[in-house]
Amino acid sequence: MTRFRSPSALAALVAVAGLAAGLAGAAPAVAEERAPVSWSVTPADATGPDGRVSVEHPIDPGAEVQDHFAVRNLGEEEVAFRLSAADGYYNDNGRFDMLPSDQESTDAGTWIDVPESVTVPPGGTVVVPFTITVPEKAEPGDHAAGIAASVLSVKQGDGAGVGVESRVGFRVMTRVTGALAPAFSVTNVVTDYNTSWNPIRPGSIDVSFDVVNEGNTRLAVAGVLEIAGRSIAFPAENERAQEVLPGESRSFSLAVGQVWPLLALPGEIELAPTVTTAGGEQTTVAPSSIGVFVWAVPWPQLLVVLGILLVVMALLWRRGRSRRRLDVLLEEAREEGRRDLALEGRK
Amino acid sequence: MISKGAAARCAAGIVGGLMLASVGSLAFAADPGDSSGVDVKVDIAAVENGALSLTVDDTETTLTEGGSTAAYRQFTGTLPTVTVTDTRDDVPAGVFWYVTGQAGDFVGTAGQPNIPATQLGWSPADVLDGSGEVASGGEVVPASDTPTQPGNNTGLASGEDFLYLALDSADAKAAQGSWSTTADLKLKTAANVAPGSYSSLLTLSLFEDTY
Repeated sequence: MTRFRSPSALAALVAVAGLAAGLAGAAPAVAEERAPVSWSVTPADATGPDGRVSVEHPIDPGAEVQDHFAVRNLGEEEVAFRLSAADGYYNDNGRFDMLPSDQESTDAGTWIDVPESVTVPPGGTVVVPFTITVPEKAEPGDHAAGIAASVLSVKQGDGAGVGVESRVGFRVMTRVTGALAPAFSVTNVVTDYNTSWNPIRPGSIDVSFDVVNEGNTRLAVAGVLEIAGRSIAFPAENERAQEVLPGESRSFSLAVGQVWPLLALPGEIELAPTVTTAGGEQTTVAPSSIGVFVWAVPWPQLLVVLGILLVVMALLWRRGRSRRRLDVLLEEAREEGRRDLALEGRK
Repeated sequence: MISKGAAARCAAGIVGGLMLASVGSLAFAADPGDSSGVDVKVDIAAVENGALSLTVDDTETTLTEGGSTAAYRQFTGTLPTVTVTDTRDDVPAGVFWYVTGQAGDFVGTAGQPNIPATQLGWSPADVLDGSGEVASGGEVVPASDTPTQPGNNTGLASGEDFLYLALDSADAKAAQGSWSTTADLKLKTAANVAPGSYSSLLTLSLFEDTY
């Protein structure tokens, strides 16, 4: 087990997962005992951490901005941390992340200049300067990136191992000044009615859709689904707003419970995202509304009605048959009576 | 001897009764639950304030074959323990942190075809100090497996939750404490996967964001 702490060793970064047959007996390498590494990374001014959670700068095309971050080593050994900047993105859960080191950045991640590594003594804090240089031809709008300090745990040589790069980072959001054009669309609208086979219980509706950010600003997506006389807000009261970057899309799934199957349930998704400006002010983008339609056939209730009808029919039918049979019997009896009378008369 | 009429009558009655019985029994059944720049570095004195830090153990991560069948080969292992410690006194309201995990493709070191990162899944363990504020992420299974949760058979190709602080509102504040977890890893490949060495990198990232 070797931990690469110098950038030169990075070139040799391989996490080997040997899948060779008969590998089961891979001898565990003699591990060199090292203390765990603990560190923190925060935006900073020239003297130390300044309380910012992330970095945001409005920058003109062709201009550059200088800023700082602090790397603090809370472990017991001196550590050379690898520093990197990469394009940022939001994952499916709406959490900000940055591209891993084995993927190449193409946008704001390439605008940031950071040293390749920083060596921090145990218990020490080092302030590292970085520069964001926006290209002349950069598109106006929001460009997300991240900066991180990382350590690598890599198992060397043959054997089955997975390399782990552990990073602590922060978000760097650059708004290139120029014409802002917030825009979005809603796609992949899927609706489904979940029939409750219990006829005295209502069912539920599932509505899912994707919101695509087609503009050049980040959007905090919020809206309301109106269906079956109900209003479902998203995000829900206790949920945080979902931020969607330009070019990204996010899936939303909403469940509406306690809905009776009234055959046809028309509804509407009303979306009114907010645009957060670099200064923290909020402007809105023209809201839009998308019609949705759900078929909700009351199968269980129809079955009950049909069942009752069949039973009632069978009962009435039987009664009818019985009466007819009695009539026939009576008629037969009368006929016999008449015949008997006629026979008597002949005697 | 049963007449045709009687048979039809009985059939209608039985079918009707059965329909009522089956739907009716449901009525009483339980409802389903609902880079390179300036090299200026300023060393500063030890900061008194606390910090939000990540701690990684220096232990091996190995994948060993186990549970392979005629249809596929399976390799399992465990991630080193990852700990997040928050010792800050004054965290602004609505600030929360999380650790995500993402993996790259398993690249064949001798030119054999890659094994996509979507074939690597994990199952984060419960948080050691389960006070409820911090949770570990859900299981993600390899793409060729059947999902154990709706849609969780995506593999670790893009960021997945590993450990996160769950605030219930924008006014809530991060708690001080230390939380650790680990994860079981599972790589699943076709039975006829080219033998040899493959390299992949799993990236764990600690970030902070505002509610």
